[in-house]
Amino acid sequence: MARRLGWGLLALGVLLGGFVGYELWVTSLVARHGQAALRSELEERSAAAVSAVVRYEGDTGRAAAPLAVPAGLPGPGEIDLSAALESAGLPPASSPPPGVGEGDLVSEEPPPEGEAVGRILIPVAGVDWTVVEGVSAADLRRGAGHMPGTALPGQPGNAVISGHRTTYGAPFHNLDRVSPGDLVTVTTVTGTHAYQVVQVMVVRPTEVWVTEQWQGSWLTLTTCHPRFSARQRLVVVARLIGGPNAPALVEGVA
Amino acid sequence: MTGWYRRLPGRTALRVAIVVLVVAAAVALLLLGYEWLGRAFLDSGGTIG
Repeated sequence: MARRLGWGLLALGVLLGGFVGYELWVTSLVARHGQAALRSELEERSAAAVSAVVRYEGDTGRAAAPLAVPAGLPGPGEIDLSAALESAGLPPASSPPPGVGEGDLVSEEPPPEGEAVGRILIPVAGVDWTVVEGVSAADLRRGAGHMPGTALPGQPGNAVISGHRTTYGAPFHNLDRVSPGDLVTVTTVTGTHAYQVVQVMVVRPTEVWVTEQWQGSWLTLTTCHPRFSARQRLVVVARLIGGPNAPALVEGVA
Repeated sequence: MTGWYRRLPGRTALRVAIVVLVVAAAVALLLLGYEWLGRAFLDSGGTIG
């Protein structure tokens, strides 16, 4: 009897050890492989083929973002953006390319699901990941995923990017280190777009309002919360403050 | 374990092939189980909705 119990406990230990090993290491290897492929795809994505200059028609049909910007947070036009990005270890935000007039946007076609969208950098959270188009289980095995149907980074609306917190390389493992005022960049084929974090919150997984399209240009990052649990979602919302489309989309940015 | 192997039909090559198939299926099922458990309780990918 004792011998059987011993074997049973040993088998249980092996199964549990296998689970931990699979979730932490095997899934990370899968993500690393996916990232290498996505990086190559992103380099091959041609700006000429997927972007165009269009007239910005305004925020028709979109509601104002239901967010309270913390008092004391400097507005987009009040920041020395180049210096702030440099001191944060981020690349400079792109300027509008030649030929883009006042009120024009550099628009971008979303890539097919499973292909690379851009690269997201958040130094305070150790985030440096290539973003894949799509948020299916298969997409998120390769890295952080851009939610289809939401704006692309740097475009009008709300660009939603989700990522694992514990498994598959854990792109957003330290997202809780982000606080209002921190800077984020997302580089797509249209250029480098700079965002300033305005809100960090914990919501239920069913609170779809955080993915709605709002006036202006926003970036919403979502991940599981707390770590090692899928019970809630940690949500970071940032507003566009620099990049090729900032002069058209953000008040106070020339 | 050896008793189970001895009860398998056919020659050694067939028995070994059956064992390999059974082990592969068991490992695949185990990984599927790990994947489901991980997604359901540990980390669903952080999606909303």
